[in-house]
Amino acid sequence: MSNYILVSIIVFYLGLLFVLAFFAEKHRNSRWVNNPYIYVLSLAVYCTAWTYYGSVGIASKSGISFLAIYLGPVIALPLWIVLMRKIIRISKQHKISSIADFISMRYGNNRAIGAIVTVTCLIAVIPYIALQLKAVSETFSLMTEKSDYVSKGFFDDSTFYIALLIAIFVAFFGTLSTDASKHKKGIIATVALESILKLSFFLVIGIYITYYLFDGTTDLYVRASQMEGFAQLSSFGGVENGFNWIFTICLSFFAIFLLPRQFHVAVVENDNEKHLKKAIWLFPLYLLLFNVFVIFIAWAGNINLPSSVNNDYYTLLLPLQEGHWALGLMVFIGGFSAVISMIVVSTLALSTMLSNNIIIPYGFIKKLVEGNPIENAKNIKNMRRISIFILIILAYLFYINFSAQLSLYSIGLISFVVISQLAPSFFLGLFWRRGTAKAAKTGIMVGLAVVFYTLLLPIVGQVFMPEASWLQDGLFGFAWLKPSQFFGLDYLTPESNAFMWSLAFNGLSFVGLSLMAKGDYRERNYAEMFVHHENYENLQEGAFVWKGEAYVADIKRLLNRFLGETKTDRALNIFNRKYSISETEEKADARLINFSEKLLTGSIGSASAKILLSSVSKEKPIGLVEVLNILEESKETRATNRLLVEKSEELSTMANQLKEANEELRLQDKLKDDFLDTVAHELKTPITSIKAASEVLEDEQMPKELRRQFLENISNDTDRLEALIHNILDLEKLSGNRAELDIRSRKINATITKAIKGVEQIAAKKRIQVEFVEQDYLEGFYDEDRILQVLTNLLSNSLKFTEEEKGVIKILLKEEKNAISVAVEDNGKGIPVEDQNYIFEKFYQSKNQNIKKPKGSGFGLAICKKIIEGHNGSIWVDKNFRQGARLVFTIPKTK
Amino acid sequence: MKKRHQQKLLLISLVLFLIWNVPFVSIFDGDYQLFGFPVFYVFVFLSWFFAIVASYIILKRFYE
Repeated sequence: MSNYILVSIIVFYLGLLFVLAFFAEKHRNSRWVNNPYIYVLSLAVYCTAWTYYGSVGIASKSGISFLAIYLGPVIALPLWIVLMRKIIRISKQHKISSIADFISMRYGNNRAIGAIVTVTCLIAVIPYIALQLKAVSETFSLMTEKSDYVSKGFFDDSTFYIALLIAIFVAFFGTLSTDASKHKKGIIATVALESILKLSFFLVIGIYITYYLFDGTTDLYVRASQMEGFAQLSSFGGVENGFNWIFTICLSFFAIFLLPRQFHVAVVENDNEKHLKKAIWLFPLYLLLFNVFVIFIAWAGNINLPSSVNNDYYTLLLPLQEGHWALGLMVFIGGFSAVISMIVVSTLALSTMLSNNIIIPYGFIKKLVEGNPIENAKNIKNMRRISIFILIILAYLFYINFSAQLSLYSIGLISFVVISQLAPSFFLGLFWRRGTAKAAKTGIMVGLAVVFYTLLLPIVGQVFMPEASWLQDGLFGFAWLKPSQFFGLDYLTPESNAFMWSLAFNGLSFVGLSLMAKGDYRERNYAEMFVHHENYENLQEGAFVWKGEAYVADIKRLLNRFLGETKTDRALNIFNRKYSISETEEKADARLINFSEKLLTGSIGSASAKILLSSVSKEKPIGLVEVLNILEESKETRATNRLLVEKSEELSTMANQLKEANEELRLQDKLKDDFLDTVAHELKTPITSIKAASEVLEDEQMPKELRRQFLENISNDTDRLEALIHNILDLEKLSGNRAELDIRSRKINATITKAIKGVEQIAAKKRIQVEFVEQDYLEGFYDEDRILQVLTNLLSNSLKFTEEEKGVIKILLKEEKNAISVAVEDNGKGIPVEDQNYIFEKFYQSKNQNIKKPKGSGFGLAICKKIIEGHNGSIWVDKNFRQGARLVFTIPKTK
Repeated sequence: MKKRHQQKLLLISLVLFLIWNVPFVSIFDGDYQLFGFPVFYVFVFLSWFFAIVASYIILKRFYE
């Protein structure tokens, strides 16, 4: 493939990423760029060219050890539910924009620690970026068929231009805002896309090699196992190898937290801690998919390719050997994606660290204090842009000078060893309050020194003075000082050797020094805020203890320089409202100092923010004990306040409940009154009529026939009265739940037949048909007398409202899941729609007295309802039945 | 998420760390194969996959 075609494809691809980043920035609030999947895919920036090409190289040469690089993160991810959540919450609260900020903040906003962490990251990551450039350059020359291609200078090397294009991309999208903690949606969107591309292309090529070039996995295994040295590729080796294996797993475990690019995507760019829910299982799955085909590609390369080629590029060489250029190009683009995303995120994170933790606090702070907001913003952005270019050029120079000696795998591992020097101060700092700034500084430096001697020196030495004897024989001729076999341990790989000794010395110095001397009050304050984060989360600015003198006006002037007047005013307004502080307040308190520090941290880093604020205030040092007391106190005040709020909420709910109960009582009272009124009225009517009749009867000359008539009237009215009183008593007994129901399992058929017998005579008289289809097996749980009462009532209602001769009454039985439903339907005049909801109320009928002559007490259905409810059943009017009336009730079924 | 359920996830990490290290891992250091995967890879990939499924279930059920 021609050089120019490939370059134009690369430029086109980069252009595509520019467009994508541009749109993602433009729609930064859209769901497409704010979801857990984008978060998971951005974490996959962990898989670089090292994964894409290097894993295969290792799998084909030395076997299993490539896997250890992924097992560390897989072990780490479930811990994220505790660890990463804590880190994210702390970082959000303090507006942290890099790992250097995080560690320096933990040790009291220490400027020197920020710088040391930044330098460590630079040492670790610049070679790592160089590794990526090496991969691009080498795959580029494989694609253009110039495998003997050696660059003769910057300007005829296409890698140099590719690196420059990537730098422009980062410089443009990485510095849109001076606030480094602001999310870079554009860059993250491109990283996510690249993560999809690199995985799917790698899977496609894996499937192509395994199933197209070979006859599946088993075929590959059989053919590979006949090759020389195969046993070593698929086995673990001795127990001594086990140590290398453990150390590599530990290295990658640390790397997933500590690599600047990982910290950036996992913490700084996290916009919702709920994304962890997906990340914890989805990211290991991503890594698993990436690793499934590695061994098969490696074996296929060993079988098909001559041993003279670089094992790292089997993935690319296999399709090229078959003449499948399109597939080769796809692999190249996948690897290129892995490279770009790594370089982009790393340089972005490193440039922020470089500007916020070294350039500004150690050089430009004075200049910035004098500048105006627009100039400052411009200067800060330019600083970061220049840092980005310097970083990429440094990486390029490293690649030119060192890459010939080192494979992708070893450069990657060296980076991991260097970055793991941050582990003691990072992890112990999260859980151990005693860790001090001095100990952290010393620990990291001791660790770096050991790494330098055991790992870096031999590499540098090999390049510049290959004959030096001390590399082989140890310093001053002492064999135990031999760099790659410190203290004579000869079975560890150079990286494991360096890792073990550096971390041992580093951790020991950190813990030892922390125990020997206490940190100052500021360190202790931040240690408290980090370690017991959950206690201080709610206190926010109140968790920062500060005593001294400062004026609001001075602080405001300072903020103006970096944020501009409108932003400063807005921020201070929010602050004043939050703590209800008067606007005319002249003196600043600890909360304002902390708030302003946070505001500045995003733009200039936490160390510089602290320096600037102490320049406008006079801080009085306070004792450690006092700091702890004040913290304890504010924590308690907070707790008491919360308790008070809870109590008052409880009281108000109780008051509401009382109010509701009161209203309910009133309603009941009114119902009772109404009931009494109606009862009195009902009782009065027959009594009046009895009284009138008995007065008439006093006349002794009354004809016998008439007299009999009146006596009969009196007797009828007394009957009515008796029935009424009986019903009232019955109803009251039922509503007060005083009626004892004799509930037993009974056959519903028998009961219904009995009820029909009771009304048979009246029915026969009116020549109304009563139909009932028996269903023998149904049994219900009920009180027979009561249900008989209900049935009789319903039947006599039906008899009342159906016409003579034409009337038909049906009783229908239906079995339901837990109940038996009984329907009584007739073809009478039906129940008017407006009445249907009220017929079960007491005396409902009596309200319609004018139209319909009363033929009962008006209690019948109310009593029925009470009875059915007493059986845990229900009774209702079937509103869909139009040919008359249909009343349905249910009673529990015997199982 | 309740502490108890968080600890289930921590347990997954702990178990993975133990089974992927010597001496446990050396149990699977043989020259058998399953569908072309050497037994060592079968062990690592399967335990890896089970860890994913377990984390998924725990998070799905208990993450609030």
